Amino acid sequence: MSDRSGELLQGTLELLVLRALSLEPMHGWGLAQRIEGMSRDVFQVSQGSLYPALQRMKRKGWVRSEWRVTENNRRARYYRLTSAGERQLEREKEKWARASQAVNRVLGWEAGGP
Amino acid sequence: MRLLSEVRERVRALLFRWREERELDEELSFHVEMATEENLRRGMSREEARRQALIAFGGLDRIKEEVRDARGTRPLEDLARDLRFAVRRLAREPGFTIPTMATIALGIGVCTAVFVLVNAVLLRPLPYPAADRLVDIGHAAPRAELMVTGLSAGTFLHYRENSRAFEAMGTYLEDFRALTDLEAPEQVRIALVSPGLFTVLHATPYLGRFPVAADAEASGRGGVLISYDLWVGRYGADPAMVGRTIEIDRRPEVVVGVAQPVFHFPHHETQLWIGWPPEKLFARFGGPRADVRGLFLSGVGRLRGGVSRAEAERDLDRLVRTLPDVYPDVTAEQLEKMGLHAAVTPLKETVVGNVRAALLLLLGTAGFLLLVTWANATNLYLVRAERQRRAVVVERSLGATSGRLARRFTCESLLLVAIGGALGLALAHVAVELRFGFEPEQIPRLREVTLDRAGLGLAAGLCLLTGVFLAAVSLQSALRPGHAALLAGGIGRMTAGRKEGTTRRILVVTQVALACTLLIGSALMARSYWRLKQVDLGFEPERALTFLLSVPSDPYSDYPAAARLHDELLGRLRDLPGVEAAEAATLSTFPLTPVPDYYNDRVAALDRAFTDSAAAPDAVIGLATPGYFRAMGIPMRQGRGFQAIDAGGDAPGVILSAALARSLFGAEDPTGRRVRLTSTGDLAYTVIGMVGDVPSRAIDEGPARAVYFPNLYPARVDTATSAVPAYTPRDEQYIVRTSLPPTSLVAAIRHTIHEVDPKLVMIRVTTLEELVADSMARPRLTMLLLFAGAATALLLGVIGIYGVLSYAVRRRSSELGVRIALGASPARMARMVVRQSALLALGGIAVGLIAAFALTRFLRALLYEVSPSDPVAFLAVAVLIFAVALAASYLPARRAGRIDPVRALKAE
Repeated sequence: MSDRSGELLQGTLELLVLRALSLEPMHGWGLAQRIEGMSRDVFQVSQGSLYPALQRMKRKGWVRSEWRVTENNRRARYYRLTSAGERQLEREKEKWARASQAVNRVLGWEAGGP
Repeated sequence: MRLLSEVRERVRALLFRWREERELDEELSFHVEMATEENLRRGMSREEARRQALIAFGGLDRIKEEVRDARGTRPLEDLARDLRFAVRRLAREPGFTIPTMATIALGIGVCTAVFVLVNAVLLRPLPYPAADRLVDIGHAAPRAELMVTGLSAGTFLHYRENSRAFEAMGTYLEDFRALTDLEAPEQVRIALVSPGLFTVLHATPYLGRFPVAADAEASGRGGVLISYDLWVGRYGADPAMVGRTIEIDRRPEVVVGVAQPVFHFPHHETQLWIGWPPEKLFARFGGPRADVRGLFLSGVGRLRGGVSRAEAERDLDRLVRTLPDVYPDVTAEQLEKMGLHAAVTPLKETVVGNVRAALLLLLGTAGFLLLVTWANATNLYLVRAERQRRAVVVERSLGATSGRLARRFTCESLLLVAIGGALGLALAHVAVELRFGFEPEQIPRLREVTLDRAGLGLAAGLCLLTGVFLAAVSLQSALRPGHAALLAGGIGRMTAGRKEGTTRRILVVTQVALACTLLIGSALMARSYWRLKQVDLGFEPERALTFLLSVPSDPYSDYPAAARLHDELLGRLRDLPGVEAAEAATLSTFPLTPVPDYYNDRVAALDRAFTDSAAAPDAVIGLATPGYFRAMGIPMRQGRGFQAIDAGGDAPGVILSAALARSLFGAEDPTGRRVRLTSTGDLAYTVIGMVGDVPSRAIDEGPARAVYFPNLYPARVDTATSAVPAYTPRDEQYIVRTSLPPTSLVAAIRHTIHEVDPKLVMIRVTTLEELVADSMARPRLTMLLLFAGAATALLLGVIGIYGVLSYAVRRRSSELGVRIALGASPARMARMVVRQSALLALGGIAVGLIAAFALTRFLRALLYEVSPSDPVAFLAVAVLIFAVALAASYLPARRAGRIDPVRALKAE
């Protein structure tokens, strides 16, 4: 994780990874591309930061990994969401929605306040 | 779930570290290659594509580190690395590592082993449910001089019926019986038990059931329970054991059950239980009686929940006072005169018996030894810390943090303690397996001793304590500030400050003091043992074989039958080649043998008031053949031996032991005086002689008060008075005096006996010398164990003194060199070192003597005719330690005297 993005983004990165993996199992490179695409390059995250995050999530039991062959016939480690990961994604989404709602309310109050 | 995956991932990461690393490499390089290819497609050059890919990735090595951190195994990996370093460092210093490890192993091993023993025997509850509510029920009669104060059938039944404090109550009587079935007759320890006894214990049988009251009612016999060991060992684990008829003393008895393997009650060698309603005793005496002078039964009770022992005692005392209302043979005045009251003690105390003192002594010794080993290990650590100080200072100035050093020292200490502790456990295991050299009959519950969870827990706890303690010691001495200054100075001064030297001296003084205390303890035990060996046995143990011949009541039902058997056997044995004499006495009067309590009776001089307790001492009653005293080597002090006229007439003749004569008649000549026994009422016996004393059950229990009746075969008994038949010769202890090695006769004797009756059993065949040795086995072993502990402590203490002195000489070599250069004689330098040693030793001895004065009184119960503050033992130990300390200073002193002033100065 780049220093600039700060600690806030660690949770965010995990949310993005969970979300991406909820679509289909994929390898690290695929994930990096998918996240870049999803977030439209908003998050300035070095691609390597994915891997410590994946390792942590594996430890927490949210994802599983296995070696598979890609469509180009190369060996790659694929990650897939576990059911615990799915539950975690739901929780994270909810949390995020609540947080952003709150932030929006605060900002709205500030903008349109008396 | 979450925790599981966490653990699984971490374990995998640890176990397959190399694979994890390889896979990580592969995964990351796959990523970089894919990114490179992507960049190539965007039209970059191959070099640029890869460079950009790496930039976007963000530092390969940093990411790898982050992944490794994310595995969560980092602290463990660091620990593993620290441990590897610690192993290497310790392996490089065998002079420190080996003695330290050995010291730790010794302390932890000895402590664990002794704790396991003490825990199993003294602390752990008896193996019955809610065993803390089990009590021994008996009496105390402080004014009656009774040797046994248990229960009688009358008191038991009265208490069981009317007590409110007990849930259940049972009684038993220990005895020996011969199993006469199968080919080999065998003597077994048995208990006659009231049917309720097993209910009291809440025991369950392994097979079948326990004897019940109905067994006795149905057959007149009790119903028999056999031990698991007997079932397996003698009856081949017969699956049809329940209902099988076995033969006890030639009478058929039906087995109703097999006990659990762990069931050993009341004695750890009890093999057989016979159901026995105590009411049976009333029939023999012609009706219910309290029989307060014959309290030979043992009582067991289970207290009701919430009832204390004191309350139970009060409850029973209430019933004691009502005894005269229930039974005709006791009056309130009699009870008052005896001072009879109930005594309720924890059952465990009864089972454990008199080994308590010896075991606590062992535990104390182990504790002392642990302290000594700690002091020793600390000393070794301090020496090493001084040696390492320079290296540590250099490391610190090169940037090693305190935390880093702390981790290192902690690792070393933990490693040392872990290995030392493992060695200690191995030591404890061996000690427990060997049962410390004790024989099963020397210590009750010895079979229950195993290196159990409590023992392992203690060992682990001690390891942890030792580890933390030693780590603290090494940290404290390594991390002291002011090292920069030391680094600037020379090596010569980079050594222990005054303070540290003082710490070490205190440690050495402590070690010497502990060793001194232990040595005094073992010296007292040695003196006591010596005294035991010096005891005048009163008989001649050389060249004599002895065995017990138990004569069953079937077919030898009365005195004449049993007497004829003995007469014939003794006659045949005397004819054997090599036999000088063959005689017999009743088990009760034979020296150094366990005596069934019911052989006791009270003896009174006819010319004194019979009711006065003090004038009617307890004595053992037995029979002896006329030649018995000569064969045993027991001297005739007064009067004459037995003759044919002594067994019969108005006042049959008896012989008294000197101890009994003394309590009855003082210094007066007892011959011609008349005595009577409680149990035979008005019948009077004439004292015809007095023989020398022999010890009763054990040498340290002192001489037996004994009345010997004549065993004249065939019997000439006045059956009208029924006096002598009360002592039918059932349990006769034979003695065969020989000119040959005694044990060479055993086969011939057995053959001779079996010619007369093939079902007779020779029990406990041994030599008299062996009997004497066995009687002293436990005191000897206690002494040896204590001595081993004390010697180890002394050795460690001496090593400590040596270490401190030789270190001091090395440290002050330059100073000593200067002195020698200035004209001091080498001899004076050497004397200085010796003086230092003497001071250390004197300090230790002084503290040790004071501690010993305070502590040895706890040994009183174990000492035989030695005062706990015996000056000989104290002085001898003080002198010994002083001499040893001076010897320990020899090498350092010589070195101090030989210091070459030139070299010493150059070093400066």
